[in-house]
Amino acid sequence: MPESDADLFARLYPSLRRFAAVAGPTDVDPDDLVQEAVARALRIRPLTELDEPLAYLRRAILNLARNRRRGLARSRRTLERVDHSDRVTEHYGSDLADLERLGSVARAVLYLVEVEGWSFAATARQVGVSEDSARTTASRARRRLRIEIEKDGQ
Amino acid sequence: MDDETQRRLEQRATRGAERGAAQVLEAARARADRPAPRRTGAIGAGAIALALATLAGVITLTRGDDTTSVATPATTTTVPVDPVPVIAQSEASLVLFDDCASVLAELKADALDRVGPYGLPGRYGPFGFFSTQEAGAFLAQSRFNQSGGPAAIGSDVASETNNQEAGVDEPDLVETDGRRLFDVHGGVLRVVDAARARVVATLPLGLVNVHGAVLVDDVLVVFANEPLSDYRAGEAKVVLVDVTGAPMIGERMTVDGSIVDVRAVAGRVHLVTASVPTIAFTYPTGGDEGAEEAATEANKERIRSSSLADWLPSVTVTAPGGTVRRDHEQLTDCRAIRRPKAFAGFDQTSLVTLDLDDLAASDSTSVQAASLLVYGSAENLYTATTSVDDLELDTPRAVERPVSASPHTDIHRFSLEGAPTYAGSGRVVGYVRDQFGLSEHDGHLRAASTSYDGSTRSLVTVLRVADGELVQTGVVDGLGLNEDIQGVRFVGDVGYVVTFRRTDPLHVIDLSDPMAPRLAGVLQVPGYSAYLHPVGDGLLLGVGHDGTEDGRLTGAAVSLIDVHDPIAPVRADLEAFGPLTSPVTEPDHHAFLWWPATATAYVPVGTLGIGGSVQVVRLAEGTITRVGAVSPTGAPDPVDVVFDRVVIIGDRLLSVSRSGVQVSDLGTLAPIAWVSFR
Repeated sequence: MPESDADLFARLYPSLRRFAAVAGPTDVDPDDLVQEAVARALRIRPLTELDEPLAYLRRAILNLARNRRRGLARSRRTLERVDHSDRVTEHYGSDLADLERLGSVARAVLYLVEVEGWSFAATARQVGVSEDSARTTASRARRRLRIEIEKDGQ
Repeated sequence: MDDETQRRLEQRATRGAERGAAQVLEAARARADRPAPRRTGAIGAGAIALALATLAGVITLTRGDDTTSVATPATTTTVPVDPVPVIAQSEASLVLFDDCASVLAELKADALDRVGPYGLPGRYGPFGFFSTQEAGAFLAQSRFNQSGGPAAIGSDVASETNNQEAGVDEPDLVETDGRRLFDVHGGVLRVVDAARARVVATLPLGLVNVHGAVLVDDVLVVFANEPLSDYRAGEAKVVLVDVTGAPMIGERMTVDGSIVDVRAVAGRVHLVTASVPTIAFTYPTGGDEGAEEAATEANKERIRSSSLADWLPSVTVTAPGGTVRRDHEQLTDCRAIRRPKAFAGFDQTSLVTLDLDDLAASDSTSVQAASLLVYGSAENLYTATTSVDDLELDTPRAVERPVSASPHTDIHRFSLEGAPTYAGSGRVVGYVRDQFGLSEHDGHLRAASTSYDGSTRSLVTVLRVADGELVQTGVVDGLGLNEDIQGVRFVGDVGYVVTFRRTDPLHVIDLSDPMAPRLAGVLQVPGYSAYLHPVGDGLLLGVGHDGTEDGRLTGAAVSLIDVHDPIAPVRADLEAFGPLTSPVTEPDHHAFLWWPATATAYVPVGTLGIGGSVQVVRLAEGTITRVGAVSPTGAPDPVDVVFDRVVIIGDRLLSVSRSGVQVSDLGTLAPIAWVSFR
């Protein structure tokens, strides 16, 4: 009996949600990203008819996360144009803040390679970049995160 | 890969409470069934100016006014500045349209004056990206789920929402009827029986991004915004739930746009929404001038051929059985739509007074202007919009540029007596940070704002209604040079304004004479208080951050401020909660609870890497004593639990998070049960 959309999604949901939580900005609910990615996919075809549904939906989630991040950054920049004050806003030495500074793609790559253990080729398919690019992104992200962690420790 | 990096990634991967596969898929299917958002191109053209503002009207300024006082105490960071110019309020006054034809004709005329190759300026164009609610969130640090204040909170039975004004209920994520807790975190209604410490009912509401709920008799009115939509295709949703017994969903209402805020006064619920036009503009496909001209002409044609439905929000009302009572009908009758005398953008702000017996019969009135925040007193409701006037960046030369690039805030007043009616407009210099920046008292409106015109400074402006306009009667200028407002509270005829750069000046403003408000005194201490709560007897409790003299913040703290002598306020005591803590109240004052019966404050804080807790402090004889803290004892993964609400029901303290409720004994704080939402 062929797998239904509901069964397929129930199987993919935990890994999609974890991915969305990593790739998305912290002020966006990961379930919102998953939901929107699925809605957009369903407008095209049933989930069961997607080639590599996990990779497809992860790419969609990442694109949504990046758009969202750009949008937030732009509106922040607009406000910064308004705000001439040089107030000191102390950000706590935050685990989440360190990851936030990496950017959506770098976080996604690092997560897929280091936590889920995918190869660079498979990671690249899920993120929508070349294998070389995935390798470079992971390397840079590791280095940057290590520096941030060391800074936090001081 | 080191363990620390792995731990951080894992922590991020598991953040937040899951809604579950079934609910996410159901919501996704519902969204997929709706028409895809109309877009004419991909986001990406950096050439589009991103305007927060919508107003392109000209500010009329006149210098010198004897009602202006300038803050000059030697002990503060304020310095003498030129007296603030008085702004002509008439620019913001509203006029009625005669009929639908005149509404459409004026909208088209305004649009044809301003349309270019990329459509209308700023966010109305094809590359506009953020919604009014997002702009609002950044201007005011979260309008959503926000509000709160010095209401006489609590009885001997149960606490109430921490509202700004007594008798003016604000939507919140939790409500109580004195016996049960109604929680709408994540779009699912969970009913918790406080005595039995268990969930007695769970009801998915078909909502995702919940704004909050108000309880009117036995009807829970839940509000939500469709998330992650194309900014022109957002929807504000209202769901009625009968909670007399087991919860039952009643009528649903959907309005185009997004929710700005809600107020419930004397059993009547007033919803304020904001929407933008949905015309699909084109853009140049080549790099030459001809392409731009062609695109401009195509966009003009789209404006000429537009109908009212492209400009004004519609409403749909559905009965419980699925019967559609109103189907994408125009929300507001054309004769109940107003526009400012000066062009104020293409946004529509709508005030909908809900008829809880028959949502289809709800009243509405609309203003052709954006709104980013709502303030409600018991008699009047105010909407306010801040403009930074950067529309000129991509406005054709034919449109006159504003005189000043300084932000100003337009305030519109609606009387809540009988059917809501428009009752005047005014304008103040600078931007108003949030609802606490506005306060009505004794027939006057007070507005605390921050101006960036030349130097950053803050002001408190007093206005009164005269001949249908909000007219300035006095102003105190020059508060906190180069500092932003962090917190404001008006209590009777005194205003308290906290600004911050390196230290926390608390400015005490004497407003007893509306014609001559004056700076009475200033308290300067490290850190800052973002939320101020009057705790009676000349005392304020400030919730915010402790800090060092050089401006470094060192963690969440509460301060007790003695304002008996407004000329010389003093910090009577401070309780700091330690490094890496931050107060949940900072973006959301509903998280805070003051329980006057025992002079106790409940302050949810988050601690990085450890999770959340509710810090409990008691006030006595001018000192703060930390009584204890509530932690998510029994939660399977306490690190993930961040309490964002505290409710008292009988002798029980309920600390609420997205993932569950910690029930404790009110007197001893001893844990009774962890009530899981999963």
